Amino acid sequence: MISELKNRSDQELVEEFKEGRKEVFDELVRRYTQMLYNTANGMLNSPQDAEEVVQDTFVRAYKALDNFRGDSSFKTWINRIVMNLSRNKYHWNRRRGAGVNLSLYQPGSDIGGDEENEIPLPDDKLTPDSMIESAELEKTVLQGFNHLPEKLKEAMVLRHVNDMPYEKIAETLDCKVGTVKSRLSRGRELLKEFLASRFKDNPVINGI
Amino acid sequence: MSDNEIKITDCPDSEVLGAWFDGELPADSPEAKHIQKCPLCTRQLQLFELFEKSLKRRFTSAENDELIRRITAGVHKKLEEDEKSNRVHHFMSMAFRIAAAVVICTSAAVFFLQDNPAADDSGQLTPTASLASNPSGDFPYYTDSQSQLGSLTSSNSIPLHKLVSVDYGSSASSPVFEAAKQMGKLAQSKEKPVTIAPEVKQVWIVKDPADTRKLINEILNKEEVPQVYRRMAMTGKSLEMSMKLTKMQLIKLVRSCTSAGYELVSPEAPQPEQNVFQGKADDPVLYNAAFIVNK
Repeated sequence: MISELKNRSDQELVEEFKEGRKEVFDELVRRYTQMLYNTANGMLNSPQDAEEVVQDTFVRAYKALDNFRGDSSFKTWINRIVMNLSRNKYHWNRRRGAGVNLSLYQPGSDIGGDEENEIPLPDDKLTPDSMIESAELEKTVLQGFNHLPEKLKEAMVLRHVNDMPYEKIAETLDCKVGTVKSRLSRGRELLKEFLASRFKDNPVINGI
Repeated sequence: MSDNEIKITDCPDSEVLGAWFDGELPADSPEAKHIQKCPLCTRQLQLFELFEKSLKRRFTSAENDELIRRITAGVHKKLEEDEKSNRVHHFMSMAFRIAAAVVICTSAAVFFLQDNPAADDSGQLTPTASLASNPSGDFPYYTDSQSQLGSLTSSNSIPLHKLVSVDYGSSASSPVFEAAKQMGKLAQSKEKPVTIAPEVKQVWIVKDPADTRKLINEILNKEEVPQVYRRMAMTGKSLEMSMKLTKMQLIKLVRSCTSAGYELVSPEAPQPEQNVFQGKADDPVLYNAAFIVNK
Protein backbone atom coordinates (compact mmCIF):
# COMPACT_ATOMS: atom_id res chain seq x y z
CA MET A 1 0.00 0.00 0.00
CA ILE A 2 2.72 2.46 1.02
CA SER A 3 4.96 1.58 -1.91
CA GLU A 4 1.94 1.88 -4.16
CA LEU A 5 1.32 5.41 -2.90
CA LYS A 6 4.94 6.36 -3.37
CA ASN A 7 4.50 6.14 -7.12
CA ARG A 8 1.55 8.51 -7.20
CA SER A 9 2.00 12.17 -8.01
CA ASP A 10 0.97 14.83 -5.52
CA GLN A 11 -1.95 15.71 -7.75
CA GLU A 12 -3.21 12.12 -7.73
CA LEU A 13 -2.91 11.89 -3.96
CA VAL A 14 -4.79 15.15 -3.53
CA GLU A 15 -7.58 13.90 -5.80
CA GLU A 16 -7.83 10.66 -3.83
CA PHE A 17 -7.94 12.59 -0.59
CA LYS A 18 -10.78 14.69 -1.93
CA GLU A 19 -12.62 11.54 -2.90
CA GLY A 20 -12.55 10.41 0.71
CA ARG A 21 -9.38 8.33 1.02
CA LYS A 22 -8.02 10.45 3.84
CA GLU A 23 -5.28 7.95 4.65
CA VAL A 24 -3.30 9.02 1.58
CA PHE A 25 -2.49 12.21 3.46
CA ASP A 26 0.17 10.30 5.38
CA GLU A 27 2.10 9.87 2.16
CA LEU A 28 2.04 13.63 1.61
CA VAL A 29 3.30 14.08 5.17
CA ARG A 30 6.09 11.62 4.51
CA ARG A 31 6.99 13.35 1.27
CA TYR A 32 7.18 16.91 2.57
CA THR A 33 8.09 16.70 6.25
CA GLN A 34 11.80 17.14 5.72
CA MET A 35 11.49 20.01 3.27
CA LEU A 36 9.03 21.90 5.45
CA TYR A 37 11.10 21.23 8.53
CA ASN A 38 14.19 22.65 6.86
CA THR A 39 12.26 25.74 5.82
CA ALA A 40 10.78 26.32 9.26
CA ASN A 41 14.07 25.65 10.97
CA GLY A 42 15.79 28.11 8.66
CA MET A 43 13.23 30.76 9.53
CA LEU A 44 13.06 30.10 13.26
CA ASN A 45 16.47 28.64 14.00
CA SER A 46 14.84 26.33 16.53
CA PRO A 47 14.26 22.61 15.91
CA GLN A 48 11.45 22.46 18.48
CA ASP A 49 9.60 25.41 17.02
CA ALA A 50 10.18 24.08 13.52
CA GLU A 51 8.66 20.72 14.43
CA GLU A 52 5.62 22.38 15.95
CA VAL A 53 5.15 24.59 12.92
CA VAL A 54 5.42 21.63 10.54
CA GLN A 55 2.75 19.74 12.49
CA ASP A 56 0.46 22.74 12.39
CA THR A 57 1.13 23.12 8.69
CA PHE A 58 -0.04 19.59 7.96
CA VAL A 59 -3.07 19.95 10.24
CA ARG A 60 -4.04 23.12 8.39
CA ALA A 61 -3.41 21.50 5.03
CA TYR A 62 -5.51 18.47 6.00
CA LYS A 63 -8.44 20.69 6.89
CA ALA A 64 -8.14 22.85 3.78
CA LEU A 65 -7.20 20.23 1.23
CA ASP A 66 -10.78 19.62 0.17
CA ASN A 67 -10.90 23.23 -0.97
CA PHE A 68 -7.49 23.16 -2.64
CA ARG A 69 -8.15 24.23 -6.22
CA GLY A 70 -4.79 23.35 -7.63
CA ASP A 71 -4.01 26.85 -8.95
CA SER A 72 -0.46 26.19 -7.81
CA SER A 73 1.27 22.89 -7.10
CA PHE A 74 0.71 21.17 -3.77
CA LYS A 75 4.36 21.77 -2.97
CA THR A 76 4.08 25.53 -3.46
CA TRP A 77 0.80 25.62 -1.58
CA ILE A 78 2.11 23.78 1.46
CA ASN A 79 5.31 25.81 1.38
CA ARG A 80 3.19 28.93 1.54
CA ILE A 81 1.41 27.56 4.61
CA VAL A 82 4.64 26.71 6.40
CA MET A 83 6.03 30.12 5.55
CA ASN A 84 2.94 31.86 6.97
CA LEU A 85 2.99 29.80 10.14
CA SER A 86 6.72 30.32 10.56
CA ARG A 87 6.13 34.05 10.23
CA ASN A 88 3.43 33.89 12.92
CA LYS A 89 5.66 31.86 15.19
CA TYR A 90 8.57 34.24 14.57
CA HIS A 91 6.47 37.25 15.56
CA TRP A 92 5.01 35.40 18.52
CA ASN A 93 8.52 34.58 19.74
CA ARG A 94 9.55 38.19 19.30
CA ARG A 95 6.59 39.45 21.28
CA ARG A 96 7.47 37.03 24.04
CA GLY A 97 11.04 38.30 23.93
CA ALA A 98 12.46 34.97 22.89
CA GLY A 99 15.11 35.09 20.17
CA VAL A 100 15.09 38.87 20.11
CA ASN A 101 16.22 39.95 16.71
CA LEU A 102 18.29 43.00 16.08
CA SER A 103 18.17 44.22 12.57
CA LEU A 104 21.27 44.48 10.47
CA TYR A 105 19.78 47.71 9.27
CA GLN A 106 20.38 49.33 12.62
CA PRO A 107 23.55 51.32 12.21
CA GLY A 108 26.18 50.64 14.83
CA SER A 109 24.07 48.05 16.56
CA ASP A 110 26.22 45.56 18.36
CA ILE A 111 24.48 42.37 17.56
CA GLY A 112 24.44 39.94 20.39
CA GLY A 113 25.74 40.47 23.85
CA ASP A 114 24.83 37.14 25.30
CA GLU A 115 27.10 34.20 25.03
CA GLU A 116 25.27 32.64 22.15
CA ASN A 117 25.57 35.74 20.06
CA GLU A 118 29.17 36.45 20.89
CA ILE A 119 31.15 36.93 17.73
CA PRO A 120 34.30 34.86 17.64
CA LEU A 121 37.43 36.59 16.48
CA PRO A 122 39.05 35.14 13.38
CA ASP A 123 42.02 32.93 13.88
CA ASP A 124 45.08 34.85 12.71
CA LYS A 125 46.91 31.67 11.83
CA LEU A 126 44.44 30.72 9.16
CA THR A 127 45.37 31.65 5.65
CA PRO A 128 42.76 33.57 3.73
CA ASP A 129 41.86 30.53 1.64
CA SER A 130 41.42 28.21 4.55
CA MET A 131 39.37 30.84 6.31
CA ILE A 132 36.71 30.60 3.66
CA GLU A 133 36.11 27.09 4.84
CA SER A 134 36.64 27.75 8.49
CA ALA A 135 34.01 26.94 11.03
CA GLU A 136 34.45 30.33 12.62
CA LEU A 137 33.45 32.05 9.47
CA GLU A 138 30.50 29.78 8.98
CA LYS A 139 29.33 30.44 12.50
CA THR A 140 29.54 34.16 11.87
CA VAL A 141 27.57 33.79 8.65
CA LEU A 142 24.81 32.07 10.59
CA GLN A 143 24.81 34.76 13.24
CA GLY A 144 24.48 37.40 10.55
CA PHE A 145 21.78 35.40 8.82
CA ASN A 146 19.71 35.09 11.98
CA HIS A 147 19.64 38.85 12.24
CA LEU A 148 18.60 39.52 8.68
CA PRO A 149 15.23 41.17 8.11
CA GLU A 150 12.47 38.59 7.85
CA LYS A 151 11.67 39.00 4.16
CA LEU A 152 15.29 38.61 3.12
CA LYS A 153 15.59 35.52 5.28
CA GLU A 154 12.53 33.98 3.67
CA ALA A 155 13.95 34.37 0.19
CA MET A 156 17.35 33.04 1.25
CA VAL A 157 15.89 30.01 3.02
CA LEU A 158 13.81 29.03 0.01
CA ARG A 159 16.76 29.52 -2.32
CA HIS A 160 19.68 28.13 -0.34
CA VAL A 161 18.00 25.61 1.92
CA ASN A 162 15.26 24.37 -0.41
CA ASP A 163 17.02 25.01 -3.73
CA MET A 164 13.92 26.60 -5.18
CA PRO A 165 14.16 28.44 -8.49
CA TYR A 166 13.27 32.14 -8.47
CA GLU A 167 9.89 31.55 -10.04
CA LYS A 168 8.78 29.13 -7.33
CA ILE A 169 10.09 31.41 -4.61
CA ALA A 170 8.06 34.24 -6.10
CA GLU A 171 4.97 32.03 -6.15
CA THR A 172 5.49 30.93 -2.56
CA LEU A 173 6.11 34.43 -1.26
CA ASP A 174 3.44 35.89 -3.52
CA CYS A 175 5.72 38.47 -5.07
CA LYS A 176 7.45 39.16 -8.38
CA VAL A 177 10.60 37.41 -9.60
CA GLY A 178 12.35 40.78 -9.60
CA THR A 179 11.53 41.20 -5.93
CA VAL A 180 12.99 37.77 -5.17
CA LYS A 181 16.18 38.75 -7.01
CA SER A 182 16.57 41.97 -5.12
CA ARG A 183 15.78 40.37 -1.75
CA LEU A 184 18.41 37.70 -2.31
CA SER A 185 20.89 40.30 -3.44
CA ARG A 186 20.16 42.53 -0.46
CA GLY A 187 20.46 39.58 1.90
CA ARG A 188 23.87 38.67 0.54
CA GLU A 189 25.03 42.26 0.65
CA LEU A 190 24.02 42.57 4.29
CA LEU A 191 25.74 39.31 5.15
CA LYS A 192 28.85 40.53 3.37
CA GLU A 193 28.78 43.80 5.31
CA PHE A 194 28.29 41.90 8.53
CA LEU A 195 31.26 39.67 7.83
CA ALA A 196 33.36 42.64 6.82
CA SER A 197 32.58 44.38 10.09
CA ARG A 198 33.57 41.28 12.06
CA PHE A 199 36.66 40.39 10.10
CA LYS A 200 38.06 43.84 9.46
CA ASP A 201 41.59 42.69 8.74
CA ASN A 202 40.70 39.85 6.45
CA PRO A 203 41.63 40.69 2.86
CA VAL A 204 39.43 37.98 1.40
CA ILE A 205 36.33 39.52 2.82
CA ASN A 206 37.27 43.15 2.83
CA GLY A 207 39.02 43.07 -0.51
CA ILE A 208 35.79 42.43 -2.36
CA MET B 1 42.18 46.08 -25.40
CA SER B 2 41.45 42.57 -26.63
CA ASP B 3 38.12 40.82 -26.10
CA ASN B 4 39.72 38.51 -23.59
CA GLU B 5 40.77 41.30 -21.27
CA ILE B 6 38.56 41.92 -18.31
CA LYS B 7 37.72 45.37 -17.09
CA ILE B 8 36.86 45.56 -13.39
CA THR B 9 34.58 48.46 -14.17
CA ASP B 10 32.44 46.02 -16.18
CA CYS B 11 31.66 43.91 -13.11
CA PRO B 12 27.91 43.36 -12.92
CA ASP B 13 26.00 44.41 -9.84
CA SER B 14 25.45 41.89 -7.08
CA GLU B 15 21.90 41.14 -8.25
CA VAL B 16 23.21 39.89 -11.61
CA LEU B 17 26.09 38.11 -9.91
CA GLY B 18 23.62 36.46 -7.57
CA ALA B 19 21.46 35.39 -10.51
CA TRP B 20 24.55 33.80 -12.09
CA PHE B 21 25.34 32.03 -8.84
CA ASP B 22 21.77 30.78 -8.59
CA GLY B 23 21.82 29.49 -12.15
CA GLU B 24 19.27 32.03 -13.30
CA LEU B 25 21.49 33.90 -15.78
CA PRO B 26 21.94 32.53 -19.32
CA ALA B 27 25.50 31.28 -19.77
CA ASP B 28 25.90 33.10 -23.07
CA SER B 29 24.96 36.52 -21.74
CA PRO B 30 27.72 39.20 -21.74
CA GLU B 31 27.55 39.39 -17.94
CA ALA B 32 28.05 35.64 -17.65
CA LYS B 33 31.07 35.81 -19.92
CA HIS B 34 32.56 38.53 -17.78
CA ILE B 35 31.86 36.78 -14.49
CA GLN B 36 33.60 33.60 -15.60
CA LYS B 37 36.82 35.47 -16.28
CA CYS B 38 36.85 38.17 -13.62
CA PRO B 39 38.85 37.42 -10.44
CA LEU B 40 36.89 39.97 -8.43
CA CYS B 41 33.57 38.40 -9.37
CA THR B 42 35.04 34.98 -8.61
CA ARG B 43 35.86 36.18 -5.09
CA GLN B 44 32.30 37.39 -4.65
CA LEU B 45 31.02 34.03 -5.85
CA GLN B 46 33.24 32.31 -3.30
CA LEU B 47 31.58 34.35 -0.63
CA PHE B 48 28.13 33.45 -1.95
CA GLU B 49 29.17 29.85 -1.87
CA LEU B 50 30.19 30.22 1.73
CA PHE B 51 26.75 31.64 2.55
CA GLU B 52 25.00 28.80 0.79
CA LYS B 53 27.18 26.11 2.34
CA SER B 54 26.72 27.54 5.81
CA LEU B 55 22.95 27.68 5.49
CA LYS B 56 22.70 24.25 3.92
CA ARG B 57 24.89 22.67 6.55
CA ARG B 58 22.93 24.29 9.37
CA PHE B 59 19.38 23.90 8.13
CA THR B 60 19.32 21.04 5.64
CA SER B 61 19.23 17.52 6.89
CA ALA B 62 18.70 14.27 5.09
CA GLU B 63 15.33 12.56 5.31
CA ASN B 64 14.90 11.57 8.90
CA ASP B 65 12.49 8.68 9.52
CA GLU B 66 12.24 9.47 13.20
CA LEU B 67 11.21 13.05 12.45
CA ILE B 68 8.62 11.88 9.92
CA ARG B 69 7.23 9.41 12.43
CA ARG B 70 6.97 12.09 15.11
CA ILE B 71 5.34 14.59 12.79
CA THR B 72 2.85 12.02 11.46
CA ALA B 73 1.90 10.98 14.99
CA GLY B 74 1.63 14.63 16.05
CA VAL B 75 -0.61 15.46 13.11
CA HIS B 76 -2.92 12.53 13.86
CA LYS B 77 -3.11 13.52 17.51
CA LYS B 78 -3.91 17.14 16.73
CA LEU B 79 -6.57 16.18 14.22
CA GLU B 80 -8.21 13.84 16.76
CA GLU B 81 -8.10 16.54 19.43
CA ASP B 82 -9.62 19.04 17.01
CA GLU B 83 -12.38 16.61 16.15
CA LYS B 84 -13.14 16.00 19.82
CA SER B 85 -13.16 19.70 20.55
CA ASN B 86 -15.45 20.26 17.55
CA ARG B 87 -17.84 17.66 18.90
CA VAL B 88 -17.89 19.32 22.31
CA HIS B 89 -18.33 22.69 20.68
CA HIS B 90 -21.19 21.35 18.56
CA PHE B 91 -22.83 19.83 21.63
CA MET B 92 -22.44 23.06 23.60
CA SER B 93 -23.79 25.03 20.71
CA MET B 94 -26.86 22.78 20.48
CA ALA B 95 -27.38 22.94 24.24
CA PHE B 96 -27.12 26.71 24.13
CA ARG B 97 -29.64 26.90 21.32
CA ILE B 98 -32.07 24.69 23.16
CA ALA B 99 -31.62 26.73 26.34
CA ALA B 100 -32.11 29.93 24.36
CA ALA B 101 -35.26 28.52 22.78
CA VAL B 102 -36.61 27.58 26.21
CA VAL B 103 -35.86 31.04 27.54
CA ILE B 104 -37.49 32.71 24.55
CA CYS B 105 -40.59 30.53 24.81
CA THR B 106 -40.84 31.18 28.53
CA SER B 107 -40.37 34.89 28.01
CA ALA B 108 -42.98 34.87 25.28
CA ALA B 109 -45.42 33.04 27.55
CA VAL B 110 -44.81 35.48 30.40
CA PHE B 111 -45.09 38.38 28.02
CA PHE B 112 -48.35 37.05 26.62
CA LEU B 113 -49.81 36.49 30.06
CA GLN B 114 -48.76 39.94 31.23
CA ASP B 115 -50.23 41.58 28.18
CA ASN B 116 -53.55 39.88 28.71
CA PRO B 117 -55.24 41.55 31.58
CA ALA B 118 -58.00 39.02 31.13
CA ALA B 119 -55.93 36.95 33.50
CA ASP B 120 -57.66 38.95 36.18
CA ASP B 121 -60.25 36.79 37.94
CA SER B 122 -63.05 39.14 37.10
CA GLY B 123 -62.15 39.16 33.44
CA GLN B 124 -62.17 42.94 33.60
CA LEU B 125 -59.42 45.43 33.47
CA THR B 126 -58.77 46.81 36.89
CA PRO B 127 -57.06 50.14 36.70
CA THR B 128 -55.72 51.34 39.99
CA ALA B 129 -57.00 54.23 42.02
CA SER B 130 -54.17 56.40 40.86
CA LEU B 131 -55.29 55.93 37.30
CA ALA B 132 -58.78 57.02 38.18
CA SER B 133 -57.38 60.07 39.83
CA ASN B 134 -55.37 60.95 36.83
CA PRO B 135 -57.78 60.83 33.94
CA SER B 136 -56.04 63.53 31.95
CA GLY B 137 -53.32 60.96 31.34
CA ASP B 138 -50.39 62.36 29.41
CA PHE B 139 -49.29 58.80 28.78
CA PRO B 140 -49.21 56.25 26.00
CA TYR B 141 -52.46 54.31 25.87
CA TYR B 142 -53.45 50.74 25.67
CA THR B 143 -56.61 48.76 25.26
CA ASP B 144 -57.18 45.07 24.92
CA SER B 145 -60.28 45.61 22.87
CA GLN B 146 -59.53 45.44 19.18
CA SER B 147 -62.74 47.24 18.40
CA GLN B 148 -61.59 50.28 20.30
CA LEU B 149 -58.27 50.54 18.60
CA GLY B 150 -59.42 53.15 16.18
CA SER B 151 -60.84 55.49 18.75
CA LEU B 152 -58.55 55.51 21.72
CA THR B 153 -58.72 58.50 23.95
CA SER B 154 -57.76 59.27 27.48
CA SER B 155 -61.24 58.33 28.55
CA ASN B 156 -61.67 54.96 26.88
CA SER B 157 -58.25 53.44 27.23
CA ILE B 158 -55.61 52.95 29.86
CA PRO B 159 -52.26 54.60 30.22
CA LEU B 160 -49.53 52.17 29.39
CA HIS B 161 -47.65 52.50 32.62
CA LYS B 162 -50.75 51.69 34.64
CA LEU B 163 -51.78 48.68 32.72
CA VAL B 164 -49.66 45.71 33.51
CA SER B 165 -50.14 43.63 36.56
CA VAL B 166 -47.05 44.62 38.45
CA ASP B 167 -46.35 47.12 41.15
CA TYR B 168 -46.22 50.52 39.55
CA GLY B 169 -45.67 52.42 42.73
CA SER B 170 -42.49 53.84 41.30
CA SER B 171 -43.76 54.24 37.80
CA ALA B 172 -43.98 57.98 38.06
CA SER B 173 -40.23 58.11 37.68
CA SER B 174 -39.94 55.27 35.21
CA PRO B 175 -38.46 56.10 31.82
CA VAL B 176 -41.67 55.35 29.99
CA PHE B 177 -43.57 57.74 32.17
CA GLU B 178 -41.07 60.54 31.66
CA ALA B 179 -40.73 59.84 28.01
CA ALA B 180 -44.45 59.66 27.58
CA LYS B 181 -44.79 63.06 29.14
CA GLN B 182 -42.15 64.41 26.87
CA MET B 183 -43.89 63.01 23.90
CA GLY B 184 -46.19 65.95 24.26
CA LYS B 185 -49.76 65.69 23.26
CA LEU B 186 -50.05 61.96 23.34
CA ALA B 187 -53.17 62.00 25.39
CA GLN B 188 -54.91 63.91 22.71
CA SER B 189 -53.65 61.72 19.89
CA LYS B 190 -55.70 58.89 18.56
CA GLU B 191 -52.81 56.62 17.77
CA LYS B 192 -53.27 52.92 17.99
CA PRO B 193 -51.04 51.25 20.55
CA VAL B 194 -48.34 49.35 18.79
CA THR B 195 -46.91 46.02 19.85
CA ILE B 196 -43.17 45.67 19.92
CA ALA B 197 -42.29 42.04 19.35
CA PRO B 198 -39.91 40.28 21.75
CA GLU B 199 -37.49 40.03 18.85
CA VAL B 200 -37.22 42.95 16.43
CA LYS B 201 -35.31 42.93 13.17
CA GLN B 202 -34.74 46.15 11.30
CA VAL B 203 -32.69 47.33 8.36
CA TRP B 204 -31.34 50.85 8.12
CA ILE B 205 -29.69 52.72 5.30
CA VAL B 206 -26.76 54.79 6.42
CA LYS B 207 -23.93 56.71 4.78
CA ASP B 208 -21.05 55.48 6.89
CA PRO B 209 -21.33 52.27 8.94
CA ALA B 210 -18.23 53.16 10.96
CA ASP B 211 -19.73 56.48 12.05
CA THR B 212 -23.00 54.70 12.74
CA ARG B 213 -21.25 52.28 15.02
CA LYS B 214 -19.72 55.15 16.94
CA LEU B 215 -23.00 57.00 17.28
CA ILE B 216 -24.93 53.93 18.35
CA ASN B 217 -22.36 53.15 20.96
CA GLU B 218 -22.73 56.68 22.28
CA ILE B 219 -26.50 56.29 22.47
CA LEU B 220 -26.20 52.92 24.19
CA ASN B 221 -23.67 54.29 26.65
CA LYS B 222 -26.01 57.13 27.45
CA GLU B 223 -28.80 54.64 27.98
CA GLU B 224 -26.47 52.55 30.13
CA VAL B 225 -26.93 49.42 28.08
CA PRO B 226 -24.30 47.00 29.41
CA GLN B 227 -21.52 46.04 27.01
CA VAL B 228 -22.30 42.36 27.45
CA TYR B 229 -25.68 42.92 25.87
CA ARG B 230 -24.18 44.38 22.70
CA ARG B 231 -22.83 42.51 19.72
CA MET B 232 -21.63 44.52 16.75
CA ALA B 233 -19.81 43.39 13.66
CA MET B 234 -18.62 45.25 10.61
CA THR B 235 -19.02 43.04 7.57
CA GLY B 236 -17.84 44.68 4.40
CA LYS B 237 -19.82 47.85 4.02
CA SER B 238 -22.45 47.05 6.59
CA LEU B 239 -22.77 47.08 10.32
CA GLU B 240 -24.70 44.29 11.98
CA MET B 241 -25.73 44.31 15.56
CA SER B 242 -27.64 42.25 18.01
CA MET B 243 -28.45 43.48 21.46
CA LYS B 244 -30.71 43.11 24.43
CA LEU B 245 -32.61 46.30 25.19
CA THR B 246 -35.70 47.40 27.00
CA LYS B 247 -38.60 48.64 24.92
CA MET B 248 -37.93 52.17 26.03
CA GLN B 249 -34.28 51.96 25.10
CA LEU B 250 -35.20 50.60 21.71
CA ILE B 251 -37.71 53.38 21.07
CA LYS B 252 -35.11 55.97 21.96
CA LEU B 253 -32.50 54.30 19.81
CA VAL B 254 -34.83 54.26 16.81
CA ARG B 255 -35.65 57.92 17.27
CA SER B 256 -32.03 58.90 17.72
CA CYS B 257 -31.07 57.03 14.57
CA THR B 258 -33.80 58.80 12.64
CA SER B 259 -32.63 62.14 14.01
CA ALA B 260 -29.14 61.28 12.83
CA GLY B 261 -30.49 60.96 9.29
CA TYR B 262 -30.55 57.17 9.00
CA GLU B 263 -33.36 55.76 6.94
CA LEU B 264 -35.36 52.92 8.44
CA VAL B 265 -36.53 50.59 5.68
CA SER B 266 -38.20 47.87 7.77
CA PRO B 267 -41.87 48.23 8.66
CA GLU B 268 -41.48 46.47 11.99
CA ALA B 269 -42.30 48.43 15.16
CA PRO B 270 -41.09 50.60 16.70
CA GLN B 271 -41.11 53.24 13.99
CA PRO B 272 -39.80 56.71 14.78
CA GLU B 273 -43.19 58.34 14.39
CA GLN B 274 -45.00 55.92 16.70
CA ASN B 275 -45.81 57.17 20.18
CA VAL B 276 -48.14 54.63 21.76
CA PHE B 277 -46.93 51.18 22.67
CA GLN B 278 -48.16 48.14 24.51
CA GLY B 279 -46.37 46.66 27.46
CA LYS B 280 -43.89 47.98 29.96
CA ALA B 281 -40.99 50.29 29.43
CA ASP B 282 -38.68 47.69 30.93
CA ASP B 283 -39.86 44.79 28.80
CA PRO B 284 -36.86 43.08 27.21
CA VAL B 285 -36.44 43.11 23.46
CA LEU B 286 -33.88 41.31 21.36
CA TYR B 287 -32.93 43.83 18.69
CA ASN B 288 -31.20 42.71 15.53
CA ALA B 289 -30.34 45.43 13.05
CA ALA B 290 -28.35 45.81 9.89
CA PHE B 291 -27.02 49.21 8.87
CA ILE B 292 -26.17 49.12 5.21
CA VAL B 293 -24.90 51.54 2.66
CA ASN B 294 -27.21 51.95 -0.27
CA LYS B 295 -25.13 52.49 -3.39
